Amino acid sequence: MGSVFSYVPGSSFFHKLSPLTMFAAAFIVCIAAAASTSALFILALIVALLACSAVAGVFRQSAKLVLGLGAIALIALVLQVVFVRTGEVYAQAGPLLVTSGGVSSGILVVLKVVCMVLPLSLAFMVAPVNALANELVSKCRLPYKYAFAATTAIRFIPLFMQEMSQIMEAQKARGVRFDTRNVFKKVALIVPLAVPLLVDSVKRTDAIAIGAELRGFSLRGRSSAYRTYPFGARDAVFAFACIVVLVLAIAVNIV
Amino acid sequence: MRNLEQERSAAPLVEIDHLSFAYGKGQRLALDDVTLTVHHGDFLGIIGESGAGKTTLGHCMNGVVPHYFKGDYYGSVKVNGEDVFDLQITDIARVLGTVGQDVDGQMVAAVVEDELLYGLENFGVPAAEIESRLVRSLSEVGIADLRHREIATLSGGQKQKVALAALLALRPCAVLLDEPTAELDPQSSVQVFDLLRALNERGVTVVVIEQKVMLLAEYARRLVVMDQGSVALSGSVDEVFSQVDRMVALGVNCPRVSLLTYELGRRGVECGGVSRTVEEAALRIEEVLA
Repeated sequence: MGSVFSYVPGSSFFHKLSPLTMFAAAFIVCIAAAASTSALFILALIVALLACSAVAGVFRQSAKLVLGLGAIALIALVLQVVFVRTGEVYAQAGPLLVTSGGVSSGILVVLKVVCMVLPLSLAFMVAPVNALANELVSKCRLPYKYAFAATTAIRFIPLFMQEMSQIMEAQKARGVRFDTRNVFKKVALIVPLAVPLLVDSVKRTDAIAIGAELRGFSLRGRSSAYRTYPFGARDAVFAFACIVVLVLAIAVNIV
Repeated sequence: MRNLEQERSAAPLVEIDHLSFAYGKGQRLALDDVTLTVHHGDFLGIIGESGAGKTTLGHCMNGVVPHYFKGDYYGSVKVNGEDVFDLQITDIARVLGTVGQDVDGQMVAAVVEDELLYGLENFGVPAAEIESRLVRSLSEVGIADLRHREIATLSGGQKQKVALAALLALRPCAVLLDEPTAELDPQSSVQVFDLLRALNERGVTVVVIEQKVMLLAEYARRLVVMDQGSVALSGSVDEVFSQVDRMVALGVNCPRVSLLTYELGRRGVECGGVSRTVEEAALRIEEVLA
C-alpha cells in the first residue's frame, strides 16, 4: 500500500507513541513551519522529518509525498516569483519580473508546504486512526460519533484515491488519454470522474454506517476501547522536543 | 437496552408475517407479502436472481429496515417474539450477527485486529476475554496470520474472511450472511460452509443469502427461493429441489446433476428422484440398479 495517509504497521519509536501525542506533535511542527521565516530552518526541519520517517520505516512513502508535492509547490513557486517584486531584478520579460525577493519567497513557500504536510502524513502512517478516535473519546471527551466521523473521513482519503485511480484506469482502458499536457484538457477529463466517485462514496458511507451499527456503534462509550495509550515518558520527551522546535522557529525569526 | 440474548424464548428466532416493503413512497415493492419463519437451530439458504429481494429480506431480519432504510412498510417482523420496531439494531445484532454484501465497505478499521476489536469493544466484552476470542475467531476462519495486516492490502476473499471472523468473535446465537463466498475461490467457499455447518451443529442458527446453489444444496436444511420480492418456493432442500423446473424458471442456477436426475425422472427413467450432489445421485442410481 503506497498511500501516504494510510497506517503502516510497525514497532518503531513513533509507533509506540500515544496517537494523541503523535498528532499533537504533528500540529506543533506544522505551526513551527508556518511561523518560521527561515528557509534554512524549514529545510533542516524537513530533513529531520525524513529522518523520523526512516526510523518509522516509512521513508519511501514520505519521499514519495515530497516528490508528489513538487507539482503543487511548483505552482506556488511560479506565483510567488511572478507576483513578489522586491529586491534585485534577475530577469525581465515584458511586464514579468523575476526578483530576488520573489525567488526567496517562492522557495520559502515551497518548503513550508512540504514541511506542513510531511508531519501530518507521518502521524497518519504511524498512528491508526481508530486509536486516535479512541483517544479523542476517552481523553478529550469528544463524543464518539464525531470522532468516528472525523477519523472515517480521514481513512477514506486513501480509499478514494485508490478508487479514483481505478476509475481512471477503467477510462484509460476505454481509450481516454489522461497524459495530455494541457491542464485545461486534463481538468475537463477528470471532472466527469467525480460523478462515479461521488456515487461510490455515498454507497460506501451507507455500508460503513450499517456495518458499524450492526456491530454496536451506538453502544460505544468513553471506556469501550480495549487498548489504551497512557501518556508516558516517551511521549513527554517527544512532545517536549516538538515544543523546542516551535520555540526555535520563533527564536530564529527574532534573531 | 433490551437483552434478547437472555430472552431467548420459545418464539421463533425470526418471524416474518405478510411483509411488504418499498424503499421510498410509491416506489416498486422490494418485498411483496413475504411470510417466513426462521427457527432456532435452522440452517436456511435464501436464493434467487439479482434484484429478487434477498438482501432487502436480510435487512428486514436484522433491523436495518426499518431503522436505517425507511420506506413503505406493511406487515411485521419479530425477532425472538419482539417486533423490530420496538428494538434497536444493536439489540437485534446481539442475537443475529450480520455480514453484509459489501464487505469492503463495512470495514471500520485499518488493521485486521482492530476490525475484530470493534464489535467486541462496543458490545462490552470483558477485556480478559477479548484476546482469546480474537485468537479463536481468527484461527476458526483460517486467517491467524493476517492478524496484524493492513486491511487495504488484503484480497477480496481475505476481507470476507476478516468480516466473518469479526462476526464470530461476537459469538451471536444466529448469523445472517449475505453472499459470504462471493469473492472466495471454490476451496475457501467450502471451508466457509464447513465452518457454518460446525457452528450450526453447535446450535447457532445460520441464514445464508447465496448464489452458489450447489453449496446451499449440500449444507442448508431449508431453502427459500425469492422472485420479484416474493417467496416463490420454500421448504426443505429436498422439497425445493423436487421442483427443479420451477427453480430454473425462476432463474436459479441449479446443479447439473439435479437437472439431469430431474430430466431422467421426467422421461420415466427411475433414478431415485432429484439428487443435489453427484455422490447422492451415484448412491441412488446404485440402489435402483441393485
